[in-house]
Amino acid sequence: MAIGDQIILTVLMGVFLLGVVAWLSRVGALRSTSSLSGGGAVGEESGYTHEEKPGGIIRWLTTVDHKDIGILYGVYAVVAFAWGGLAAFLIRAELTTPGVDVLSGLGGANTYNALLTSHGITMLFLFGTPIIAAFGNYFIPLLIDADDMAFPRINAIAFWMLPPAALLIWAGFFLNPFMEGIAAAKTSWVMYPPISAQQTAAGATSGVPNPGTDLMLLGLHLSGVSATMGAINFIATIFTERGDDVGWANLDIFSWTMLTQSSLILFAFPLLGSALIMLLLDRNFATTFFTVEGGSPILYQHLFWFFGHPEVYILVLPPMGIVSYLLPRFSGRKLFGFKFVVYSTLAIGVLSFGVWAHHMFTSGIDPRIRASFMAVSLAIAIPSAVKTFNWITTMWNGRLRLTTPMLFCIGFISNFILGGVTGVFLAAVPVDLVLHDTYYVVGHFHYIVMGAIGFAAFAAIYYWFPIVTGRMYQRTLAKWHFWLSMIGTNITFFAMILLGYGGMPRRYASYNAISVGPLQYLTNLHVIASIGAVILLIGQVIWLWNMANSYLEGRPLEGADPWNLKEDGMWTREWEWYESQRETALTDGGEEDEEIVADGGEPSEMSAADEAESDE
Amino acid sequence: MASSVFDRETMLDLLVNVIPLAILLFFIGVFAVANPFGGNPVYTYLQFAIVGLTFVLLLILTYFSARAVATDERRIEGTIWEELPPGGVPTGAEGAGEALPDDESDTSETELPADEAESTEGAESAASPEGADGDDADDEA
Repeated sequence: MAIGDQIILTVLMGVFLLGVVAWLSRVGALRSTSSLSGGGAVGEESGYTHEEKPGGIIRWLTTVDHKDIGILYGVYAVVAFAWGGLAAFLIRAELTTPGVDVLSGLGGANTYNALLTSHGITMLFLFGTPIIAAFGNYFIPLLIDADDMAFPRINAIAFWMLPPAALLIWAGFFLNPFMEGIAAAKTSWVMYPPISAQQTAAGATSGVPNPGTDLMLLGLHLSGVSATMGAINFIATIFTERGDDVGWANLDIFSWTMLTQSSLILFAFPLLGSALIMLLLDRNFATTFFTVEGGSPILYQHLFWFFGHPEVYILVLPPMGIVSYLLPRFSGRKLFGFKFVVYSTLAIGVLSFGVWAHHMFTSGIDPRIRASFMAVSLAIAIPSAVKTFNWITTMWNGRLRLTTPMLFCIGFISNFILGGVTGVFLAAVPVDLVLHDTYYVVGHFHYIVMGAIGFAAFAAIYYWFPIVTGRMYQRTLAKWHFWLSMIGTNITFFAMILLGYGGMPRRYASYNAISVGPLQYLTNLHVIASIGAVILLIGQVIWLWNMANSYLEGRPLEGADPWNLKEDGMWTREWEWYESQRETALTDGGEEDEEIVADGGEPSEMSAADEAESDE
Repeated sequence: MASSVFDRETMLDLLVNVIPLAILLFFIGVFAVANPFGGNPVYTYLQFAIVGLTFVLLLILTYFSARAVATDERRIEGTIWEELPPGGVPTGAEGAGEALPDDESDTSETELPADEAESTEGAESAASPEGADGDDADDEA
């Protein structure tokens, strides 16, 4: 193409973009630049009203209201959860037979490796971190009596980096049908060189490196920038935006865990970013940061796990906070040892930076260094165990109400104990040398990431669903969801523990050629694990249906206290805010409708509520 | 100020972090006494630095966080807590309902939500609101 043509195209594109900006600025009637322009009037500070919030899609594209951004994070996380979940389902389907059979028509082992990579990265970076940010964004300002996040616009920018990050991370799948030389990355989520520096689209280790991997690395980097910006925002908000009567002594436990988590992000994610940039340079510019003759692949492992292990706690601390926050509400008792939980959370924050090389015990690092990492890894078990005892003691002799959020909290504790105890064994060097890279490790961390983190996320979703939607979910379906998830989780991941004891290695698309254990034993356990995955899938489909259907047509709340919190003296700020929103909405012209929709009393949602009611 | 807030209650709360600190200290001692892999200027230094640095950082964070929490607790004791109405926490002071009773159990037990919850009066309502699950379950539209 001639240079003249390019200039014309560029000018045309510029004019087009200007037109889009002009159109958006008119359609949305974007008036205010205040941090509360999204109508985020909180509590009694009603200087800004919801009329300032533009309607329709423009509202969501331009919002800087922490609650709207929280919802965006949540929806995004659910989409990612679906992607990652379907990838997991395909993985489990493939493993029901020892050979590569199920995926043989779809690319065989290469597709398996791509799905495995995508599942891991999606669940950790595109589901785990965003779902926590969803709760944090929506509820932290409410819980600490802040008007909004400290930097509302940075908050919006941080979120809007995530959709392109996801597109980049998944780009290999989308581009592969159209471009032969590009395929989804097959590096596994840890992206160890040399394979991640060399792998081609066809899976070979020599030739032109797969551009799909580059795109994934760039997407991952973008998601890291997003997480860091979000973390800075949370730290600034909790430090500087707290209400006058919210101090360190009565800061709620969820905010404490979010504060610690954000600090971990601040120190850990830059390491990931650096490692990714160096990896990209190695791949594309022939640098030798991680080559065998250069900086060595072990350098990458150190950098990656210095980020990677705190990442585990980045994902699990806020869920621990959620469980610590919810359990007392349904136990009729205050949290036992509130300050134990606070201090142990902070202890985990520090110790998590001293354990990274326990992921590398078999990599040949010096035994003296291994011993040190084992010591710190054993020490970090204490703060986690302390929390577990606090939760159990909170429930002890309590007046338990087995609501769905409570069931998920109890499920969290049960699964966390299994995942935690199996982890303590892995912290010991001799045990790890035997079990490293087997399904034991996979079972261990899935008990945590699905059985604990996932369960806490569901508990929080159910608990706060009434605030966000103004409606109640369908309770029977919710209990089906819990029991299917609980049973599915334990069948799938306990089978993995046993597979690990049988010596089954991780990341294998086929296992008919391995000789570590009796093939029939491994096959049977794989089939059992896959049956559990089907049960899990059914449970999650029920959940998705329940959420969508209840949001659209669920029974509107009759009061602002669906969990009878006032009765137990457990009334908290977010519900207080919700109550005031309902009252404000009533005086704003909602007199004819007793059942008001939450989320700022949006006129549009009001009408949705009316419609739903008239349908009934 | 700093020293005055580290009373018996605060020290008891900090016990939770003393245990991992003790474990780290124990291993530092073990590594100093038993060293089956021999000494090495780099690796031995790293061996002690990893555990030692973690120990020091945890100690520092524990100190400052405890000071912040205990100092703020004193502030609340002087204001909100004394004005607490019998039978519950003030609206919105949820954290106080959780954080303070640990330290105040000797003086204000009757005011704790936990005690309220344990009263027989509340037992009847234990089933609500989800006790009506079965009734509400057919709400599916």
